[in-house]
Amino acid sequence: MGNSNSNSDALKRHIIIFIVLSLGVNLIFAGTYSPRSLYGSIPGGDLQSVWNNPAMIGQLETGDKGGLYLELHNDFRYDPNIAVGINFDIGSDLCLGFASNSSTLSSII
Amino acid sequence: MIAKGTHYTVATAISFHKYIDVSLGILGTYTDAVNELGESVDNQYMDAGINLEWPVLKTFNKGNFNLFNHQFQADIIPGMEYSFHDIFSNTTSNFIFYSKIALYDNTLNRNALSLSYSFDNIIGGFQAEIYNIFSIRFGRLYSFSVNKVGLNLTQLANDVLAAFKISDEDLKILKKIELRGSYGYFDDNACYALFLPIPELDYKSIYNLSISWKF
Repeated sequence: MGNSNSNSDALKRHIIIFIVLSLGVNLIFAGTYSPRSLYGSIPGGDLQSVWNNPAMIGQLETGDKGGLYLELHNDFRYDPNIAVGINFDIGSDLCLGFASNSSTLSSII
Repeated sequence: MIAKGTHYTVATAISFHKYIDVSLGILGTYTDAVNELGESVDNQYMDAGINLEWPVLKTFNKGNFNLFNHQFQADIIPGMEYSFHDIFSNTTSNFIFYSKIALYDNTLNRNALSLSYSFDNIIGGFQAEIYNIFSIRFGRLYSFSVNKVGLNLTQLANDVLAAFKISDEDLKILKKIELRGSYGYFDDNACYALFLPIPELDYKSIYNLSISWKF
């Protein structure tokens, strides 16, 4: 019982230290932020759509060999936008993905 | 007058998922646009970046508990993305940080709850998903406010049919195909106008429909 309590206390201590360090590092690095580029996309913005694209990263589960993905949206200030992607489990805990999209932006000047 | 541009993107990424999730990606974009003077404008660039996530409690084999006859795995997952925009000419870089609190239901073998908050020094967004069915996202992401709710339609259909005692074998197709939809709005405001040389786009509804197939 005593051992279980001390493990629990140690875990709580680790979690608190981790949260404090994580927030601290986040705030320090966030301070080095560079201005965003002026054309259309925002640095990281396009890549973020790749990370978030289930065909690239999120969809594979144990036993799956790969996934295909098709998305239609008008998100991100673009008009009808289509994205397709495919990913493969290539072994050794590695996943390889490809994606492409096309989108049209229109704005009233 | 109306300015129009079409934006084509191809990307590839390789990711490693074990004690830590690491993804490396590269992306090329070509834009064919007409500016406010009616002149044709071409633009191309390449971005590269790395994304890191660390499921802390899972790494140390902690966070397991039982509740309502279900076995759960709780986790705290800090993540960050560091990317370089336009790597061959006017390179700029950017961090995005996020923190997730996740609860995985081992009994049902799916995510029970995921709460995440992403930010850099001027933007932040909150995202939540419950049992891989209902999601909500709001906050300032990418310099404008995005607010939407989403439904995983196949997961919902699967759960409703399972409640009527339809066998897992008959529901197999719903495990392989995922249809998701979301609806909401974004609201542009001063923050967006500050960084981009195009005028504010006011309130606009947004939709999203995606289908994926696992093989």
